[in-house]
Amino acid sequence: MDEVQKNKNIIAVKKLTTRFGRRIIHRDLDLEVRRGEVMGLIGSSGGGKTVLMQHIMGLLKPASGSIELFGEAIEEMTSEEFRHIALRWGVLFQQGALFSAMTVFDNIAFPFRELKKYGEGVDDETMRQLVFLKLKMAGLEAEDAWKYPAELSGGMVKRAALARALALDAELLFLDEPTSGLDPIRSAEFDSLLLELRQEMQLSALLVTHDLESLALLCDRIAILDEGKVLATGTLEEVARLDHPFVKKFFETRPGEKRLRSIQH
Amino acid sequence: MIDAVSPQWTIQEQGGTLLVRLKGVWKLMLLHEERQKIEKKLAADLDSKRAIWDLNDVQAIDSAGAQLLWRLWRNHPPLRLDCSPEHKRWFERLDTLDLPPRPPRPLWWPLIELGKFLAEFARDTGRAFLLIGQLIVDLIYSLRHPRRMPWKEISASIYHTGATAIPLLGLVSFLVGIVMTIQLAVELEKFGQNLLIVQTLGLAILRELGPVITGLIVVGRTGSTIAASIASMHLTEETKALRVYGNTPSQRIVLPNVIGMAISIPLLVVWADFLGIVGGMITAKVRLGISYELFLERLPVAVPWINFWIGMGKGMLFGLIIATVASHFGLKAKPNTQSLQQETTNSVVTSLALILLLDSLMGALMTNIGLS
Repeated sequence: MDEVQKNKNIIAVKKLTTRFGRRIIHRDLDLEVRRGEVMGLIGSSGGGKTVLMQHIMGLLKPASGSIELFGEAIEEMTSEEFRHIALRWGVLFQQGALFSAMTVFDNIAFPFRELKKYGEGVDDETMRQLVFLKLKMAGLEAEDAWKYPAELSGGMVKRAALARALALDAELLFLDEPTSGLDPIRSAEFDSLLLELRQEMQLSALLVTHDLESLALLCDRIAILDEGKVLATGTLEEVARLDHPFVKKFFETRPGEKRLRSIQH
Repeated sequence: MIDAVSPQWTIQEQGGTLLVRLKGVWKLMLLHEERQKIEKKLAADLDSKRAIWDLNDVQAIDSAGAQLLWRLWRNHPPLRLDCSPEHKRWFERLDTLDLPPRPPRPLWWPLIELGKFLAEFARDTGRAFLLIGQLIVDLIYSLRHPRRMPWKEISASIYHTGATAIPLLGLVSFLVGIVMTIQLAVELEKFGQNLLIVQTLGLAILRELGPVITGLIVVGRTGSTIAASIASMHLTEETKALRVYGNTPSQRIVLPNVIGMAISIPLLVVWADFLGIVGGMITAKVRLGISYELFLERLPVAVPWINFWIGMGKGMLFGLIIATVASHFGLKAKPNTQSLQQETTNSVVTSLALILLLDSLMGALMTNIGLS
């Protein structure tokens, strides 16, 4: 593979196999995400979407296969190299995963303070400004900085977690069901926030979701995970036309939607 | 970086004002030393003159890059700024940035904390009594309706607090018996009262060490587990699910643990007594030359039986305390990780304090029972 091709992909998963005991989660799975692209990942619950994401982030070791991030294979990295490359991505966990013992400010400042332990990072005054900047970008009020996660609503937790994920100006975002547990209005707001930030910060992202709205609004391409493999990748139109039972069920108009539409007309 | 074009700039002088043109990629967040060099050099080049800034050739900029420029501009937009709308957003945000300071603690915060502590303590005590009352009600109810008695949970509790503690408790008591005897033997030999070891060791182990060691080990092993597991059931809303099905945490979790511990701890005390004395007996033979026959013959004579029952009674009391205290703190935890940690610690500390306090109280009150 030539250099250009390599650099085009921000994530490249090749022949990944995962086994939990006897259960096989992924079987020779391939997935490529291009630089600057938002890739949606869909699949049935328990189908290994989150596990795949954890493999890519280096939180879980696959049984076999290789994973390249920013054009570099993570299996061959030393822990110091991996630490450096991990600074270039941010993660939004499903439940936010804010540290409950810390204020929102300290949560967002956490990545900066971790960097400081290595003699890197920015001085305190700059950090303070950057933390409030990220807070603002995530759509939170400056006063929210001194609250604890327990005092925040569900939508605010997601926003604070997004601010932390973006603290170090990540180039790549991992979003694990960013809109789950939010009401439709909040989740639409969160989607448009993600869209805005994506354009502004030239983000690439891997997005796990069940939310058709997020898929339609945010994703350039969609990968369908089924039976341990990526069944297909393509734009929303392309994958929606696929002739496959899971895909058909997923994109089929649901009875509730039909009824809603009949009310609106 | 892969496609890094390092940050560059050119400066032209135009009739008193400077024209600064920036080029390249101004992503500075992870460039630690370079960032400081760039800032120093740029500041020196500017020489604090007024300037017009042209950022049109900047390929990309991140928040650290924008913030560096903003600081050079002394937190104000420059005379004139030409840049793409996306890049401009950074400066607009920085311009309207609110930096509220961390709310300071009022001067009288120690008073507030003390008040909070006292209020919390009073509420805790009240809640503990309520829990005890609830337990009595639950117990009477269960006795009247034996089918609703949580038999399985009681049995599970006996297994988890009792059976699984046997190896560790046995080892600890055995070692305590040995150590006690070794150290007492030195003194007793001086007075030629070797045989006194039977009485001293027997009394100490049956009355004090057996129940107290058992109590301490159960607090560490099971008390903490009960508190943490009830607290984490709040996190997963399992306690609410119990209520929905007409059960209550006190009936289903607390009562079985209290009954289970009241049964299993006295049994553990017997085990601790046994191994403590075995440890002492072996050491007495090696160190003081007292044969097993003599030791066993002297033991019931020198140490009245009542001491064994005192130990058992203490064990049962400790069991009630550990289970109630652990459940109390577990139930009171709020559904977050910090509260879980704190209440688990509180439960262990409170159980230990109560056990040692009650033990010394009983020790002081019962000097005329069983000590000949």
